[in-house]
Amino acid sequence: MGISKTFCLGLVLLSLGACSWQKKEEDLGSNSVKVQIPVSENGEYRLEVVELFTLENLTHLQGSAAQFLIDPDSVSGSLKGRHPEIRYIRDNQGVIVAKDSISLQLLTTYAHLEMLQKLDREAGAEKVLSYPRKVAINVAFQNQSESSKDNAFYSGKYDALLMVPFTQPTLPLMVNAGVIAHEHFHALFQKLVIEGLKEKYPENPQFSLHEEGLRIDAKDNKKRTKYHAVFMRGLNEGLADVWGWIYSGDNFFVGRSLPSEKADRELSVLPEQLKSSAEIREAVASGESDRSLLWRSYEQGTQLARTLRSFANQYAVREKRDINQLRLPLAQWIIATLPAIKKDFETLKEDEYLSMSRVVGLFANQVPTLSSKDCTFFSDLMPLGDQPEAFVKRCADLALQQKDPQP
Amino acid sequence: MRVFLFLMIFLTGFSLWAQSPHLMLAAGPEWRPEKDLENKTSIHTLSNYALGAGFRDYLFILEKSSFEESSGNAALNVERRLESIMLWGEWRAPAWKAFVPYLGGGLGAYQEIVKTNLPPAPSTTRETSHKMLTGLNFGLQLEIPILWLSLEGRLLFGDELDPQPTLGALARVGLWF
Repeated sequence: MGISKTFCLGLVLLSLGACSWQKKEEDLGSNSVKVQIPVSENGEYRLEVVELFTLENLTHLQGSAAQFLIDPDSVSGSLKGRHPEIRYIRDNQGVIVAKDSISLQLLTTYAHLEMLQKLDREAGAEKVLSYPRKVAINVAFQNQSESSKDNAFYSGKYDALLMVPFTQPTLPLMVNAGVIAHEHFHALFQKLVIEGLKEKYPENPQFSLHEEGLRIDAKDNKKRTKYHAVFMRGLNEGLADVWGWIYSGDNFFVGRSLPSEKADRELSVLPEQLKSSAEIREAVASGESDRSLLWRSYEQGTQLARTLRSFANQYAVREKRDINQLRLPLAQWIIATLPAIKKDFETLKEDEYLSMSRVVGLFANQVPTLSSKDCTFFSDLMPLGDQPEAFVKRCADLALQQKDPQP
Repeated sequence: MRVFLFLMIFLTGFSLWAQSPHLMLAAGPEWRPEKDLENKTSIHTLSNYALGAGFRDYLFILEKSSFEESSGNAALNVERRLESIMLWGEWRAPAWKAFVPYLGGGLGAYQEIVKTNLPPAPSTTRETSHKMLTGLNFGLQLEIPILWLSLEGRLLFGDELDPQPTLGALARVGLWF
């Protein structure tokens, strides 16, 4: 056989062999997969290999923990978007490594939501949320009160996490463990508090529109309703910040991605006295702007978050436990407090107002081994006249028990 | 099997070159399309370096291609490098006007290396094993003494390529003597 014939035969064989290759598409079935992602350990981020157990299709990031919708649109009241196709390599040890930054961010968000599902379960909130959690990426979002870039939102309407484009030179929000946990908490708050209140307070649609900020109808002259809209927003934000710390162990998680928020949202700062309901009522009655009231919401929320964060420190020292061991119990106490907040709201008398002091009192009720020192810690942060009766009574009982212990 | 095929092409090329040598040394840009995150096709430009040996109407070329891309921001970024090495066997048809058409097939391997940076944490570098790459090419070489100038289209097939096959192109400038 001549050289030309051999050469042609070689080309034919090469062509036939080449046609057998398929495009990469990985269905994992029930197998776990190891991925390399940025992980936070007490606020220190590093690259680690973690094992994911719920991912079913790696290329499209489909699994029971999260569902991604890219460039979403609202169609007939629900979010529609295309599924991602992430780019990755599998290294010599079988570890999945994202080939580009966006793929890495998506993979990391999936991993966080899988781990947050575990936290839900351990904190006593199993089955509160429906999974897979929806995550809308690259949302085109227009809003007067909040930024349409460098932000993340939870939408009660779509029960989805909305991520708008991130343009900062800092840790991307989708990788920020605390931020993902913060937004995830809003979903828990939505299900355990807000949705239950809708029937009693149908005139407060803004409660369910977290993503649209505090939209208060100018014609709404019901100051009490407006007060509670401001209050609930602050409460939601404050508890979500604590949840962000519980999950990530990071006191600076907001500022890590959004440096302009660092000073206002840092959780390691010692708490100031909680705002009294009277102060916010006056602000509402005086006709402060919505922007100013929104700022007050966040201010109240941060005060609450710092109070609970500082309490965790004090409790850990007293119990001689590492602060990280307190993160799960704190999550359990917060989850147990949410239905109590809802019930308290439902049973408010016409002339009563919720306040951060009342919420702290409800939280203290969930702490099984509350001491008189804890009572003093909380009492010192509650404005005079705002201390809830049940809390005062429990603390008085505790003081008596600890003074005269039962045989 | 892959190593055996590679050696076969290499040894055949070497023995032919030993009888009546031609040498080629060239470099140039290679364009390869790739699907991105939005499933759109983007074109990467690779640096391609080639060393060839020929006999009569046949040319055997050992080439190396590579490209780098990076994405992300100062806090988190991903650097990706792709390297491929291929051995091509090409048949050069009789000259047509001022051009020499050629067609051929190639066999080789490629590897991807991904470096992830998350300062101040230590960066990590991970790489794939070498994955098989085969190809078919068709091109035109300008018939002038000493200088090598060519333009070719190529169809690449390989483990995990997307799109599959990948239709690319290559321009070469070099010496031929």
